Amino acid sequence: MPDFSPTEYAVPGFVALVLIEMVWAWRKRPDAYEPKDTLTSLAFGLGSTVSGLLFGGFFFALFLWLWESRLFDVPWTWWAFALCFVLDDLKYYWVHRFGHRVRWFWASHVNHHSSQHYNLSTALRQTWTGFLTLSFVFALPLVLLGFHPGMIAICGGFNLIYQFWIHTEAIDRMPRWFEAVMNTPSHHRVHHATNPRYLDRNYAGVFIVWDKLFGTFEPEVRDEKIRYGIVKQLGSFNLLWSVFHEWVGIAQDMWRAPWKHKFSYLLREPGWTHDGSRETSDQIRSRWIERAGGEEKSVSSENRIAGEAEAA
Amino acid sequence: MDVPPALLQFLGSLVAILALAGLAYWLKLGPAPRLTDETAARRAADDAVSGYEPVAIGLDRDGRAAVMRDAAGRILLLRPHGVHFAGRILTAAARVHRTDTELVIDTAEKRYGSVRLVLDDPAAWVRAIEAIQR
Repeated sequence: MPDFSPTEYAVPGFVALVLIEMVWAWRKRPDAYEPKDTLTSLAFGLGSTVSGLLFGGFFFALFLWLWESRLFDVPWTWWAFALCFVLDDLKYYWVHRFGHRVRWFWASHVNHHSSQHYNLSTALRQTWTGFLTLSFVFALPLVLLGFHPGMIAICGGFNLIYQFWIHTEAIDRMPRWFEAVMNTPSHHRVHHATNPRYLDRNYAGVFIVWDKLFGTFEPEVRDEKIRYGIVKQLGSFNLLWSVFHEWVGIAQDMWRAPWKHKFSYLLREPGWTHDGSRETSDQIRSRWIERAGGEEKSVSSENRIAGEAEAA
Repeated sequence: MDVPPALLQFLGSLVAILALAGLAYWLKLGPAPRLTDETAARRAADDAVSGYEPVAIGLDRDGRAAVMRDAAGRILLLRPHGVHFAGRILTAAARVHRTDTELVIDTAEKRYGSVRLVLDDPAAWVRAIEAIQR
């Protein structure tokens, strides 16, 4: 198994691109960056590498152990890598969708969304607490099929590297054929937006086709200003608060909730409350549709985590 | 003294991120936001709380913050957060007091903190905020 971590080699490239984007911002869009936000996002990234070093080994060891029970012997060939990359991206889509629709997973993933900026430093704003979720479970099918955990890790690394450059407002649209298949800055701006029309959309990593397949795709609308962040903006650059705020919120809600609702605050979608005191993304979107008096296509109701189907 | 490679890498990365944030500061990126008029305040309110439609707006004289009330009596406080605004619907735990020139609103949320505004009619807002405490 090759000893190779793609993301480590990509770091100098990340730094160079952030520098280039800052120069772009200085010339065209000074509000695209903010020093404290940039420092917080980059500190997140640094901390996430430490977290990965501390806890990643355990999950890798678990995968290696489970790989011994694999169904097939997948060779280290170019076509196996290609297949692994595509299947890993499909896995990424579902991990990511759970990351937005189950508060337990959201508590980790929210870190990536809590900046009100959308620039390349946001791409590096990565969670420290991924090990506290069940995200690793989604990789088990790949492992049991026979893909070596090292191959899955390498594909995952390239997947993350691809997603770095799409975290920018400096690129408007890619050619139509590219936008049709791949995740792009335009598609991913939608994903990071808090505009009601864009909430919980475009979960793709590399291939946007998964969102089109599973009914979670939303195109970027030209004449609507995007706002980024989370529904209730953090309002703080405090790093530790930024890392743990949602975990604290879950603990407080579970403590205060009646017994029959406690686990719903962990397992239901973010924003759900037993007394209706807060709103979910679906509720925010529904109210917006009522105000706009328009129609909105609904996410497929065949999938439980899609939320309730909305009337056309 | 042999420094472990992982620690060297960590320290090097730390220097790099401080340098990048320092560059953003040196380039004067991230201008402070201003609410120039009530239209801007309304837009910022909708950004903070989707669908929030104020019926009364208290705009700080320098445009640095705003307090507003909607038809349902909810009071929304906006203050700068970097180049954007972050908002909070005040709860019964909120506190307000006046100085000679300023209104100081404490959301009771430690990480959001207090906001100072210079308003044309601070007394009206004191009454509005005290009303939600009851």
